[in-house]
Amino acid sequence: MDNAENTRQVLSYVSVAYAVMFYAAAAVLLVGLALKITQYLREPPRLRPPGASGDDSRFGSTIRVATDVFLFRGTFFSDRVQWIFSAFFHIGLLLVILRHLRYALEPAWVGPLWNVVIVAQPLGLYGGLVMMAGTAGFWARRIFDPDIRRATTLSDHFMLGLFLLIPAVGYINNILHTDVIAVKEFFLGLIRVQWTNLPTDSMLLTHLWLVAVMMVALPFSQLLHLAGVFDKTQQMDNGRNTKARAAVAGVFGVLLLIPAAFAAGQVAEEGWTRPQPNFAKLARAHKNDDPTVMIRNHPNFLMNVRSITVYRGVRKDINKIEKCVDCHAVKGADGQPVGFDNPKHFCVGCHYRAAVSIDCFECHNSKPTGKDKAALDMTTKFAALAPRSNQRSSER
Amino acid sequence: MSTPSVTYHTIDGRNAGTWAVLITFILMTALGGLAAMYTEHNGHWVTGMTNHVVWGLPIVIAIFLIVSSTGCLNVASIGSVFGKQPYKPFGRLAGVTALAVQAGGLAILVLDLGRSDRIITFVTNLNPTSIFSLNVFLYSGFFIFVAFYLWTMMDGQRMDHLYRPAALLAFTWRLILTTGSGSIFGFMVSRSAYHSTLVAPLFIALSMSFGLAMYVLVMLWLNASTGRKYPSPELLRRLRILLGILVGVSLYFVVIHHLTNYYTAERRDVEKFLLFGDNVYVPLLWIGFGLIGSVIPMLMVLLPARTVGGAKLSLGVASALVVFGGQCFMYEFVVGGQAFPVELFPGKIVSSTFGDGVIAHYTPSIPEWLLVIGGYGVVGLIITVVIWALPMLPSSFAQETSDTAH
Amino acid sequence: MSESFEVSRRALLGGAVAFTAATLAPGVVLYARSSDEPATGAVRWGLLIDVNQCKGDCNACVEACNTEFGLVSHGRPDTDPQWVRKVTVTDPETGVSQSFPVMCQHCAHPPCADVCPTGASFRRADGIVLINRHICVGCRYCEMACPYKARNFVHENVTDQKPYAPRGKGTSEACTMCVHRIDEGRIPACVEACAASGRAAMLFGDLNDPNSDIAKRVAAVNSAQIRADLRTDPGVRYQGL
Repeated sequence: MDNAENTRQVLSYVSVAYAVMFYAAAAVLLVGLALKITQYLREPPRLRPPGASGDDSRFGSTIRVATDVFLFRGTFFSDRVQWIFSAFFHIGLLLVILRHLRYALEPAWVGPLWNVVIVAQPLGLYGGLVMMAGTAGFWARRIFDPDIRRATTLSDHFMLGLFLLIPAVGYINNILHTDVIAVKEFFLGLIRVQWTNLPTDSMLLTHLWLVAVMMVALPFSQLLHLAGVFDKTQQMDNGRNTKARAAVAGVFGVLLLIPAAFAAGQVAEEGWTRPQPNFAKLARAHKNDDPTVMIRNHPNFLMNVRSITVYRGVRKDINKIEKCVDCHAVKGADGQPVGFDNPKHFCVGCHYRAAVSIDCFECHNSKPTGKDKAALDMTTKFAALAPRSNQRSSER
Repeated sequence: MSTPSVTYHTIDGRNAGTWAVLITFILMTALGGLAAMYTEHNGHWVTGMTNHVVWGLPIVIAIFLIVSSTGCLNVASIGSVFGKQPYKPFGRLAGVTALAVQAGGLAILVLDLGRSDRIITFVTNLNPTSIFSLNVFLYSGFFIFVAFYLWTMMDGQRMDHLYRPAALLAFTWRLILTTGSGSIFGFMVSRSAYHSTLVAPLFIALSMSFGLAMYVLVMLWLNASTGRKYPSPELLRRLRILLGILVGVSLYFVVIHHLTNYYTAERRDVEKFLLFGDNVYVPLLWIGFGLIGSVIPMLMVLLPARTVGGAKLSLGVASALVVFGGQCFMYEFVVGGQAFPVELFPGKIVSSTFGDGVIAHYTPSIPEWLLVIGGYGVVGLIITVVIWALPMLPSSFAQETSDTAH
Repeated sequence: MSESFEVSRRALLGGAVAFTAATLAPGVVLYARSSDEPATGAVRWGLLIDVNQCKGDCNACVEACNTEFGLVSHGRPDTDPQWVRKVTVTDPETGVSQSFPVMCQHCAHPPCADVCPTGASFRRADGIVLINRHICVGCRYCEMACPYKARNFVHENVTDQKPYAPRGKGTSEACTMCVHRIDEGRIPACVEACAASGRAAMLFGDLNDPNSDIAKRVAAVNSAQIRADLRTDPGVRYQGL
């Protein structure tokens, strides 16, 4: 097959619609954020709030602004319960964002920092629950506390609902599995302006749609308070020390923009090309030539057969991970199959890019053990498999 | 009921001393974390633990802390469940100390696992016949119930009607929890040093004295470092008597435990080893626990002190000795019980390449010591942060006349 | 959807059935359980070790076990894995000495499985006590609770494992009675090696099958279980102990 023909993709309507939707949502969010910051900057400085103490030295005010932004200092002293919910929500959100960085970054771009994303995978999974707990706390207050209820609008309920719904659908997604690499390719494609197809799993599409809705709604809600760094009425420094606010805002912005900066620097470079699956071998070995079946479900298959093997002793070849390893062996430079420590290993390519660690090879051998050399001839090239629809159309 | 006459305060966060203490605890915790990472990365061969002594120093201290944590609650329970007024102002601090000590013990326990990364398996795959997995329930329940108890203490107006039930619940739960901790050993048929119904009540007795001593240390240190005049002479007198009695009860249970075993011919070998053998466990038991950790502190707190200052000082020193002796006892109990060989063929002379029939050797390694230091760092860190953020320390001297303060 | 999962799972590898038959080792085929059938409680695998046939200086079973499972020494005896060990027992009164192998006794009521917090230690339907390393957290409670001191902890990183015997750092392990061989109809490695050494001190078989060699021997001669007083009912019995 011709390589150029291989990589050409026919985009699905859904993928195009989602690409356009995310561009639009991002535009609304960024413009909204910019407008809000400008609005705060134009407001005249207020008088020092009564009771606000502390020196006006540059260091002192920078510390105060920083503790306000990162530790919610103001809330801590005014409303302890609100502070606890805030801490839950924001720490959870941070972990969730770190986990989702795997969709926006390539390991090669960030070097050793990629380990942060790998470590964040399980943490983000629990972080989502923490975030939902914080959200539930906020919402409970808005419903049960009469004072807060009076100040609550429909839009507050709407945003809180979104913040519960999005992670909830995300967890369903996590249970059902999707083609993580394809989702990653989709979003990297948006950054590179080389669109690719999005997997069409209903829960994934729901999750992403809700995220886009929130991106659009954020600038119109009161939740865009990260712009409040520039709100002079919020600061204990009486709005005088503009430099302190700018410094803190700068640090905050850099933290947020690190991923984007890495991505932007790499957009020009060619991303990794996806080797195509060999459909004949796929059909022969897995009795199904749709690669997405194995991509999406291989963890479930492995978990299922491991229990059957360990507990029931049904040691069919199909139940043996050694057979997976035998067939999917990749030869290294020396002609010998490579182990799990080699980036060329069949499992490593996708798993490393998806930041998902694999426990298997801490106990199982990651190389074929030579018992069945013939299996090595069935070696497929490393394949980060594309969704079936693309492949079919490109073959035609 | 009159209005509460005890007000509570946070500690001064701007104080350089507070920061120094906080940073020390953070460094200790970080050391423990690094040690755990080192062990996880290399495997447990870098520790002193082997296939013969499988639970070493980290588990010893983890169990000591977990057992003690329930006893830290004593002062709160005496104030609420048993209605003794002088103890009430210290209920909050007792709850916080209990939670912190428990968390420190659990941190060590978890980081000493072979696969700490799989901690969630304790929840996803639960084996109901395992005392250990039941304890996982008991630990989390302890956190929830003590936190709730704290809430009822701190939100006096609204939660007053739940204060006594919460106190009773926390008290009952801590008894069950310590029973669970003791039963980890008590239900173990394989090692004759452990297998005994006496272990659960023994652990409850130990938890009372170790926990009270640990709590007294925290309280005295906080009161001294924040310039408070607590404890009052009345509370001081009661605490001294209480500690003396509880240490005596602990000593009694340890003596009866060893006596029972020694009386049984089947177990006389292991008891001879632990009581009179030529090994480190004998001085740990007799001198570390018996003399330094029990008899001397009992004399110090039960003999009358001439001045209030002397009474306070001797209570503090006695508590420190009890805490020291408690760790000696746990080491003797946990490691000593394993050092004596498993008896596959009772009464026979056994030898093999796998340590059968010979006394196992164990020396704690540096990573294990650091992990233990990390556990204490976690305890200190939690206590410091909580009393910094929330009003936990009483500020008035009115506890002897107060009737609603809690 | 689920249909296609099922199809692809079944056909994970083409020609799977033919392969199994081809790899059967030349050892004795004992039990013709097909590779599709799960282990059942109708069977109870056991070992009978004839202590009088076992010689003190012979280490064939231990070496066979180490080879089969790739257990290597790191020069640290206290943390090195030993699934089978030769134990020498001497009566202090009479001075009579015996030497024989001790491994996991595959109890009917295994204390290790009772105490395991995650249920990783378990007894398979056919009586073999195993560890599901996928859920073992490495707490070592099973090592504490085993009256036979049969369990090891993996203290080091392990590489190049045998494909049929995965093992890795931070988990517990013990004799599996060569379950991978039994499932293929072969006998445990130690038993094979003992027979090859000419002593034939170890007999493996189904204790539940009255026609099996082991059941007949157990019915005919006096045999004992180690620490029978604990009522764990081991599947490993000793003749002449």
